[in-house]
Amino acid sequence: MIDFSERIILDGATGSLLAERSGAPAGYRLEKLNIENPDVVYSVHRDYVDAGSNVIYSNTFGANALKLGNQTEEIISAAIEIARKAAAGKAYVALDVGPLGKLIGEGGISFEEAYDNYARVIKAAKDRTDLIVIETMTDLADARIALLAAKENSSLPVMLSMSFEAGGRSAFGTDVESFARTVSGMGVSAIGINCSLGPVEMLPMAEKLLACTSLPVFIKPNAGMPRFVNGQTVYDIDKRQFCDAMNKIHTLGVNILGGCCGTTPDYIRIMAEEVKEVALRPAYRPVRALCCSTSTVTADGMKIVGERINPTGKKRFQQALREGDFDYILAQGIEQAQSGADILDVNVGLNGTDEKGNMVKVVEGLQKVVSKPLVIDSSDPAVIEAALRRYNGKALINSVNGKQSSIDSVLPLAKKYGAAVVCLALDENGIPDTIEGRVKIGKRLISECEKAGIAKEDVYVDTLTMAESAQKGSAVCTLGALKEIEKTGAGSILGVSNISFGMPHREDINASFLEMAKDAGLVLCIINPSLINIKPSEYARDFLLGKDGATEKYIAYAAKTDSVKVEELASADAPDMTRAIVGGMGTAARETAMRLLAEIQPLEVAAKHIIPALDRVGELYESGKIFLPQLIAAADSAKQAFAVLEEKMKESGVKASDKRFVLATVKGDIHDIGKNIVKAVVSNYGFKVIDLGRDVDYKIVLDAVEKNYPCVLGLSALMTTTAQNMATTIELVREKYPDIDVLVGGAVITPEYAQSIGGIYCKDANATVKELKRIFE
Amino acid sequence: MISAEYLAKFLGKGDDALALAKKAVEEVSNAAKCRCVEATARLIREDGELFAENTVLRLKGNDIAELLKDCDAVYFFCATIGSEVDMLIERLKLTDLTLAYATDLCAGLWVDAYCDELEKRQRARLEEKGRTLTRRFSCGYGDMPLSSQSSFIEALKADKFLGLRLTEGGMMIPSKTVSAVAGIGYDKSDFKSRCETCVKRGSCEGGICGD
Repeated sequence: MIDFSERIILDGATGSLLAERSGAPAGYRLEKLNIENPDVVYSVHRDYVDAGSNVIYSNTFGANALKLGNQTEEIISAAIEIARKAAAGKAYVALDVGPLGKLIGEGGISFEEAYDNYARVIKAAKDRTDLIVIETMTDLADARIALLAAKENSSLPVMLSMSFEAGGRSAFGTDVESFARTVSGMGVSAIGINCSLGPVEMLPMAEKLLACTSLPVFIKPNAGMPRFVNGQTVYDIDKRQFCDAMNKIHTLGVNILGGCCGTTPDYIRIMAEEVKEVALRPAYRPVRALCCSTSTVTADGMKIVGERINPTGKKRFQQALREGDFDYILAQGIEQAQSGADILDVNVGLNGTDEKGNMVKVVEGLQKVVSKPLVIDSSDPAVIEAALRRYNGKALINSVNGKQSSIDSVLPLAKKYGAAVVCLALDENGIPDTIEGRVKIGKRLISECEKAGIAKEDVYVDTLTMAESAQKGSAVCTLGALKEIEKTGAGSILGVSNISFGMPHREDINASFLEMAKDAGLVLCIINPSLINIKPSEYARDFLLGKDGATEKYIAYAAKTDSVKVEELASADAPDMTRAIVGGMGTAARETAMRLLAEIQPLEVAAKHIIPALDRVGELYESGKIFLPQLIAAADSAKQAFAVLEEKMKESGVKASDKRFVLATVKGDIHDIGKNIVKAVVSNYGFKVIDLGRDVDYKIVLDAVEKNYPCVLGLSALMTTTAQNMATTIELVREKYPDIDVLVGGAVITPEYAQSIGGIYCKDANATVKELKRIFE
Repeated sequence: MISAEYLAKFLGKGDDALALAKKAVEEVSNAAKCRCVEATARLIREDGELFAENTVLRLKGNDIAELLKDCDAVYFFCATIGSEVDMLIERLKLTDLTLAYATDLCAGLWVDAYCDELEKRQRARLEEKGRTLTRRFSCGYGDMPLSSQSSFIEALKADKFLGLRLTEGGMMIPSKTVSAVAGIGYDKSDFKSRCETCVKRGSCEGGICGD
């Protein structure tokens, strides 16, 4: 059994050497040589073993079914056989697993497909190697999937390395620290960096890696930086320079060394001869950290967890979940990130909706638009696991509590996926109302985490915020327990806003409570980040401390503050609707709508004020007086005015529009700016837009039409390759709905092409509105 | 890489367009990281097909054959402005559609300008040796199929060096990425302009690509 804490010399540039010795052209699948020319593969392995490698990688870097199809198993099996023979008991053999080379997620292959392909590679090797090495990963998502497939389909130890550019990030944007924090908790035996750079460029990254993980570290650089010359790749440093640089890396504390592209057996030999000792490594200092694939948040001071991705008590959010309006939800994430959230809590639990499916969509969506770590917030372990599988970072699970069933189901997930965990101070008997009661549960959970193999720095105890107005003394109890938890060395977390429930001007109380919690040592604070800049007030603080007469004083103070705001609003002098919308002034449009609603009905505001304003915008656009950006800004402003009307209509029970327009960017296409502009403009004309998003499967379009018929279908495509998918979509929908009108558009669509596939061509958003008006009239 | 004044030309007239262009240029210049893998190789003609020697790069279609008819070598590359730009555009689409539109446009022009620079640099290198470089040609131009992109990526190991991936529809990710080839010859080759071989010829309202 291999001991990763020993000094280990890995092999070198198996790929470059195979290409050179076999004469294969650049880009040839070198794994085929396992069958076509096993002798050359053997000779390369053998030379590295003779040079002093303790571990050789099998010639299976690209041996997966996406590249080799049905030959995969045969090629992997042959590769292992050759490597074993060459190792001849003198070196360990690692099953080498490289990236699938496919985009994972939207527009590419699915998570499951990627997983299945990696699992197939692992199973094909049948544990006939001594270990598995996953290497040259540039996409952390890809790396995690490969790792999950390895851990779930084999009992062999796994080494994992990624490739980074000179700036310290992988091509997909992952930095060394986020990589280390994410992967270290997922059951790998050693983590490392390989390829892309030479040892000189890699040295600072090796140092960073050592600081961010307690695991053994391996470094496998190229022989300098690559250049292509006449179809050949050449590298810029020689074996002496390579060895000197590797010696320095070894001195830092890296005990596993090897080479990547360009490092011939001579490079490895000199290194094996000179590096004899186990590296001495400085002690690892544990750090409280969470990360996403592109950034790490270290909780050294108090950090803000944005709380707004949560349907509780939010009608608009609930509607978004019910209608699958994920854009709205993702926008909440972006806004919170922009207003100061360090971390985002994600809770999509709502009765009558698919929590698991929605959680996966939101987690995947957020990772594309914000670089913030996520908190996976659910009471259902199945939902938590689904999210953790897809989350490319070190997440925080919210939450486990003192009930045995919760401990048994949640802690193993935190351990398996390397996540941190929130521990709620409650159990089978409910929430204790004393400091001692909550601390006792908190401490028990800390020790349960320890037993489950979760480090103390990854535990955050929540001493629970309860409404002070409901029970005097709540704040004092929560804060008291918090101080005790701080002494244990575990982290802490609190939702803040609950404290002010039932009180006026809640922001003041929240801000004051936040300040007091910070003084008590709070590490993570769950709050609406736009509130963090509000100054705490004396009145609120006295109320929270339960001082005599403080409640009354606070209410009087709050009432005064509110009346000022109302006066400001009433005296506002807003321009009329047309000026507001044409000028793209969203706030003015909203305020105008509010004023008009005091006098006339919502539908009248729409018909007499907003629609004429939009028509004017349309005219200006068509006559070339304004341009697309202004058109979009105008549509956005009108949207704000409409939002006011919608609220009003909901209150008075007016039915929403039944002129439905199902809109999608076709399968295979991920360009959706044009479709989004159409959506923004069309919704303002009172049509109900059902936006299916982009890269939409045929079947999903058909299902949406079925659900909404009678409706008009709108399809967009930007590429010649996906225009065909538009035709297929129309064909499928027409089989069932021969009379449906289909509007089509997008960069590559011409009027002729539209006609040939049975669609109505719309050159832009305005044309779409005209066609929709014509059809519905 | 490109100026706000240049971008503003595509966004309309007046100060508003310029202000928007300035914002977009600032956003893109903060997010863009220009990187490329490039190579030159002898051009091999075999059974009517064109190959870059010692690579898996196969150049399909009559239009590319026409462009390379007087060439004996090729210069080819993959160039990208990186994945951070994609994230930026996705984010803006949800928060500020106007700026998203301008930024998307700006990023497209940005990667093109980067390719112009690579092309110019290579042309200067070649002219020192008395050689010439044709204009660049990309998959999807004329009749060169988009599916050829995978052979550019494989030949240049751009998946490894740049982290490029292809969508099932044949689009490269990061999305503001270009793969292209240009011919190397001794004579000034007479080659067609981009418009003449563009898929949108006939229906294009003009000039968005800069031509």
